[in-house]
Formats: sequence, structure tokens, C-alpha cells
Amino acid sequence: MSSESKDRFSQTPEAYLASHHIVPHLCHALSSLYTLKDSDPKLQPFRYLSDYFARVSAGQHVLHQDYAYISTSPHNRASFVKLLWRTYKSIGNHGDLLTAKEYHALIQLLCADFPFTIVQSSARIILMDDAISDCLMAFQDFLYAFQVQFCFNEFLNACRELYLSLSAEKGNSTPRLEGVESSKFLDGITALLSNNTYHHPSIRVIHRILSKSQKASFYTYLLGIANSDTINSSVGVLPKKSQCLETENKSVKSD
Amino acid sequence: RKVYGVGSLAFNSKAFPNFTDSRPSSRSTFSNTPTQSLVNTTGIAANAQAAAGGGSAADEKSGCLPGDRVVFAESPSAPGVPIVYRLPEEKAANPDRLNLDRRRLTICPILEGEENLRLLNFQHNSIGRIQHLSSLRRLIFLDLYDNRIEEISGLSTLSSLRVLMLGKNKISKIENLNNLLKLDVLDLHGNQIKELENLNHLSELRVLNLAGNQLTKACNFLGLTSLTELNLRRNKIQYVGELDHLPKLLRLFLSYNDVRSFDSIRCLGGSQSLQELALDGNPFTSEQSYKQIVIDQLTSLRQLDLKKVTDDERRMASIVVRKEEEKKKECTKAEALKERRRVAIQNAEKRWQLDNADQTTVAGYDNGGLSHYTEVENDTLRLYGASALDGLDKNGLVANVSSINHIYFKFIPYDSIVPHFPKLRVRFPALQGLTFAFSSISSLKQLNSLTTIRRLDFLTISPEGNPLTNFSLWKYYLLYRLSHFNVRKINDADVTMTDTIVAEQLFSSLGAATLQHFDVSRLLSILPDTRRKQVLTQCDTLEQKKQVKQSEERRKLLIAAEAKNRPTGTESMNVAALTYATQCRPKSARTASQHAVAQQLIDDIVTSAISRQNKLAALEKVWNSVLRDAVRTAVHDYRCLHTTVDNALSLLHDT
Repeated sequence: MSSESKDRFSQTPEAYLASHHIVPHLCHALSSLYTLKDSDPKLQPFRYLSDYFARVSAGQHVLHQDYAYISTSPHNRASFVKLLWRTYKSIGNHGDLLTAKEYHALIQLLCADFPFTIVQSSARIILMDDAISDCLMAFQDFLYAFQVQFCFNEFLNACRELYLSLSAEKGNSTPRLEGVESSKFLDGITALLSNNTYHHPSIRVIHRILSKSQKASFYTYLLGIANSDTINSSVGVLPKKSQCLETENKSVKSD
Repeated sequence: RKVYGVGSLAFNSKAFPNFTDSRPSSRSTFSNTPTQSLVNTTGIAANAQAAAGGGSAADEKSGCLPGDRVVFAESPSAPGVPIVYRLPEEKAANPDRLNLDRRRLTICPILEGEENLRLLNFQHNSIGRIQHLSSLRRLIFLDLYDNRIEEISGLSTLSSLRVLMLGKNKISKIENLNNLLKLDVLDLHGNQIKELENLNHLSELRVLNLAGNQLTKACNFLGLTSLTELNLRRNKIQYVGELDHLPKLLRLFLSYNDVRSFDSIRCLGGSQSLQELALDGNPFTSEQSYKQIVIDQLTSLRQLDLKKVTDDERRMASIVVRKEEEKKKECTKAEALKERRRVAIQNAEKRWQLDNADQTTVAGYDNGGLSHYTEVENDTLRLYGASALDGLDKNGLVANVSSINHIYFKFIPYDSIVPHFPKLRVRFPALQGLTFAFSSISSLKQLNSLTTIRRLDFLTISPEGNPLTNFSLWKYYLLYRLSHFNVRKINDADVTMTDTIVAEQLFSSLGAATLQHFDVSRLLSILPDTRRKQVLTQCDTLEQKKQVKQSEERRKLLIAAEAKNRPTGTESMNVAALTYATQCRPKSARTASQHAVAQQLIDDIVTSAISRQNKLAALEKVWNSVLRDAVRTAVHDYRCLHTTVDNALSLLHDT
């Protein structure tokens, strides 16, 4: 993250506010304060605000909120992924395979206006195809694909555009299958990142994924990101994929 | 052997002494009528049997034959046409009768010197055309039964003809009878006649036999003012008309036709003369009150289908007919209602298709017509079409509200039904179950809204028109969300203990998440007002006891208090957070304005904080030099103290 390299004192106030998404959080906190003051007679504004930010830092602030709020900051998004994991781990354990639409319905139980496009794109990562909407997926596969798609949504969309333009240059008839030159792709991605401020996975990992073969198709690229343990731990909310369905015995219950 | 009906008529006795002879072989098939007292004043009669002599068909062709002894010869001028001579003795014995039956004739022979002939018999031959009869000006009886005649012709000179028998031929059209104005009996049975025509001039015709033809309707009877007997058996008649114009019609035989209802023979009701009627073998007779209708309408009838009609029967008949009419009226009313229902439901379905398929037109949708329908069947209230929901508010909708225990929704979008849920429980206190068909239920969150019904024993979401049923977990989610309902049946399948346990296993983390993620105030906000006050007071008393300061402890207390104070059948707090806000409800203006105010406030604070920060940063930059300058000036001034004092004083003087 670009802001990590800078000391917070060397940032301008605006940059600081923007990088930590403080203004949206404050707005949200204030609106909730207005709506809730009728229900609880003992509500104290400052205590409420301190509780609010405590919950934000613990990642417990994303349930039953608008999609606009959830997608505000990378931290919010990561917290949502964690929530998704915790809530539906039992379904994963139960072993049911579900369709993209059903996963979407389950997600909408947590966030009522969550859009289908993100779920669909996550499904495409796993299915390597243009979303046959009735294909069944296992919970673990879906979860990790969803994590990368949701957390790096803008970045991945930009990568896709890049990929399509690269394959159009080459005159590929089936860009999905043939792929593009990995080196060219990597150069393009680096250029993307330097020109924009996307939240993105570590460049080193991307480099590693793309250098595995000369040609890279978009979906192998995405799958590589989804399955990478390093990226997963950099997001920091989900355990290793092999362990994600285990019950948490040792970890702290309420976090 | 059946005797022709008018057989008892007296003949000009001399000419036909033997006409009461009966012949064993079958000839024409006129019916046997019991009345034998018909007397024709003109005194002319005919017998189907040409009585003279009468032998069976001879085997020899030429020369003298037994029976009427005739001589066959060939004319040199017309080869192939036989000429018939009779020896003068024969002619003197029977001058006006000639019997040529079964002579294997294929052509009508030329009859030499028989101008006085009055009765001519050509039965059972193979004659194809009626010819060479123009000289027989006095002929009154002509029998061509059982030949191969295809066309009625060659009769134009026979103006005295009274009886014409053309049965069992191949005639397809009635024509060329124009000059036979004295015709009394016309027999055309067993032909291929399709239409009744060219008979209207036969004002003396009394008997008409058209049995065994191909007639499909029988009208065109005007002019047959003497007709007493009409035989139309074994045709394909579906309609009979104009018979009420025949003042003398006594007997009508319509057996084995295609008469389907009384309407087809309604004209008979106007006949004052009809005494005998046969309708057996028609589809009409299978109707329940066939006999009664006919007896009631035909007041002069004495015999129907060979059975006598009594006065008692007549009286009963009119009663029955009235009853039938009333029943029919009821039936048509019921039919009309049924049709209305069908159209309304179909319209509701088309409306639903329109909304769902995003098409601008759907075939057959009647925009102006009714597109909803409501009905009550036993204890189920059925609603079709979205506009039917308006009726739920009206009072007169259902007569007996307390008997309804099931409501069935079809072709109504689920989101439109949701606002009515709270009212349902109030209006129908005995409600036990709901069914949704074609309701476009597509998401699990929609099931959350069912909690406003407060209690339900069974629920059916039909797979038709509800994509939700494609999800494998929808039933479990339903059980979890509505666990406080204790639903007994989902989609007609009993809810087992295993189902409930699995549901709890799968989804309990949803409820747990609520308790974790929500703080006290938000938890309180999801409770309904009454419960909230209760729980709050409970919480307060506990707090005072324990002296809670941390909000975390307060939250735990709240959760405990809520769990303790929950009445049976109410949902728990963790589940209550799972709500469904229908898309059509826009965010209330109040929330929007609150949000705007908050945003404004924050922006103001941020701006002022940033400007203050900037000012501080700017100050930071220049502070060093400012301080340095100040110190330098002070030190400098202190070194040259006198100079400083002098300068200051002079400054004071000047101002």
C-alpha cells in the first residue's frame, strides 16, 4: 500500500484522511447516531463513537449495512469477507455445493443490496468460463475467489481490460484460451499500478504467478491470485485454504 | 307382406281386378299403416304389385314368356332397341296393364300399339334411362323400382300419371316432374338424392317417400298442400323446416337421421295436423326429456315412435319441460360465471408474464379487462392477480372470515403481498397456512418478511414461478428464520426434527453474528416498541445492581435480559435483525436528510480541522526563523542598551 511507505506525519491532512477513509466512517457513525438515539435513552454520543471505532478496528462493523458502506475501504471489504467465512462455515462443513445465485442470496442476507456482478465474477474465476449460472461450487473455492474479487475489484477489472486489449493487439480469436505474453502482461500491470491508486496484491506475488509460464491466460492468472497463500495472508482475514473449514478451537471467540 | 297405405282405395275396378293380390317378394318398402279407411274420391289407386298374370322372371330371353306374354323383336331402323309386341288376344285380355318385370331389360323398349296403357311395370330390370314412353298419354301408374336409372327424364308427356315409383335406382336429383301435376304418390326411396327441390308444384301429392337418400335438410315444402305422409327415414337430416305450412300432414317419419335437438324440428310445433311422428335413431332421443319436450310442443300428436300419447303424459310433459328450462338457465348462468373466472385468471397470468418477461406485449392480454379474481373454496381464499390484493382491505370480501384457514396467492408478485402480511393475521384470525404460486420469489432475504405474519402452521412455495425453490438450502433457512413459528409443514412435507436441527446448524452463526456486530443501541432498535421498554427496564434494574460501566458488559446484560423476557412465539433478537425491505419502499426522507446533515457537519469539521492543521504546519515552518529573529533582535538590543533606550524614547516623543 502506498501509504504504508510514508510516515503519517509526512502526509498532507487530506491524504491522511483519504487513506484511512476517516470521513466516510465519521459520516456513517453520525447517521447511525441520529437513527439510534430514539431507541436507547442512555445513548451517549462520545461513548458511542469510541465503541464505533473499536468495532471498526475489530472488523465487526459490516453486518447489515449498505453495500456502499461496505465497499468503502479495503478494511471494510476484508472484514466482510471474514464475516462471510464465519457465518457460512457451517454450510461449507455440511458439504452442500451451491450455485452462484444461491451464494448471492446468502450474501444478501448479510448485505441486502450486494450486487450480483461481483458474485458472478467470482464464480467465473472458479469455473473458468462465462458463468454458466447453474454450475455448483464448493464453499471454500467460492470464498477464496470471492475474497480476491471483492477486495481487489477495481484492480482486477483494470487487469481484464488490459488483457483484452493485449489479446486484441495480437489478434487472438479466443483470448481466454490462448493467453498473452506473460512479460507483456506484467509490464502492463506495472504501468497500471504506477498510474493509478488501486488496492492491489503484492507485485512480487503477481510476478511469481506470471513467470510460471511464457503465456498466461486471464483465468489462470486470477486463479493464481485466488489460491496464493501469500496474498491471502496479506489480506489477513482468512486462514489457509486447507484449514478454513476447521472449527476454531484455539482462536479467541469474540474478536 | 306390407300393403301400400292407400291400397284400400278403390280402383276403377275393371282394369285391375287382382290388385289386392299379395306378392311374397319385397317391392317398395312403404310402411304399414293401420288406418285403412282412406278413400280417395278420384277412385284411382295403385298397387305396388302389378297384379296381372305374374310369373317369376323368365329365363328365356326371347320369344313367348310365361306371365305377360310378349314378343320381343328388334326394329331394323333402331338397332339395339327392343320392341315389344303383344298378341292381339293378350292385348284384348289386359288392354291397360303391361307387366315387364325381370326381363333383363337394359333399355326401355318401344311399346308397339299400347297407347291405352294405364299401368306399366318395369320392376327389377337394368334400365338406365326412361325413354319411349311419350306415346302413353293415359298412363297413371309407372313402376321403375329396382333399375339403374340415373336421371329423372322422359316423363314430360305423362300428364295423367298418378303414381310414380322410382325406388332403388341411382337418381341424384329431383327434376323434370313439371308436367306431372296429378301426381299422387311419389316414391324415390333408395336413391342418392341430396336436396329436396322441384316438387313445389305437386299440389295433389299425398305420399312422398324419400327414405334411404342423402338429404341433410328437409325444407322447401311449400306447395305440397295435399301431403299427408312424408317418409324421410335413413337420411342425414339435421334440420327440418316449413312443415307447419302443410295443412294436411298426418304422418312424418324421421327415424335414423341426425336430428340433434328440438330446435331442428321446431317447425313441427306449428303443425295442427300432425298425428304420428317417428324420431327413433336420432341423437335427439338420447336427451333426458326428449319425449316430454316433443309431446309438450306438438299438441296434435297421438303417436310418438309407435307409442300412444296419453293425456296424463301430456300434462306431465309440460311440467317436466318447464323444469328443464329452468335448469338450463341455471346452467348457462353457471357457465357464464365459469367463463368470467377463466378469463380473469388467464388475464392475471398474462399480466404476471408481462411483468416478468420484460416484454412490451403479451399475446392475448386484454388491457381493459379484469385481470384479477378472488374466490373462496371451502376454507381456502384464492387470489389471482396483483389487483386482487385491493380486495383484502374491503370488508365485504369474504362472508365468513373466521372460517378461512388457508390463503392461496397466484400470479401476484411477492413484493406486493408483503405489505399486507400484518393485516392478514388481523383479518383472518384462523389463518393457518399460505401458498405462493407464480410469485417471483427469488431470494432468501424475501423469506425474512414472513415474520410479520406472526404465526403459521404450514407454508407452500410452489416451484412454478418461484426461482427460490431451485436453491438447495431454502427450506432450512426458512426453518431457521421462522423457528419461533414452529411450522409443521413446508411444501406439503412434514417438518422433521432432523430438519430443524440441520437448519439450526447451518444458520445459527447468522444470529450469533448479529449479537457480535451490533452494539447495544442497535440491538435495542431492532426490537419492537413494547418489548424494548420491557427489556430496558429489566436491564436498568440489573445494571444498578451490578454497577456496569463498560458498554461491553451492558451489552451482555441486554442480551441476557432479552432472552429471559421473550414470550413464546416471538422471535429472538438475533433473528429479528434479518429483515426484508422491499425495493419499492424508498429510503425515508428523514433518513436521507439525516445523512445529509451528518455529511455537512463532518465536512465542516474536516475543513476546519484541515485549515487548522495547515496553519499549524505553516507556523511550524516559520517558527524557527521567527524565534531566531526575535532572540537575535533582543540580544542585539540588549548589547547596545543605551542606543535602544534612546531610540525608544525618541519614538515616544514623535508619536
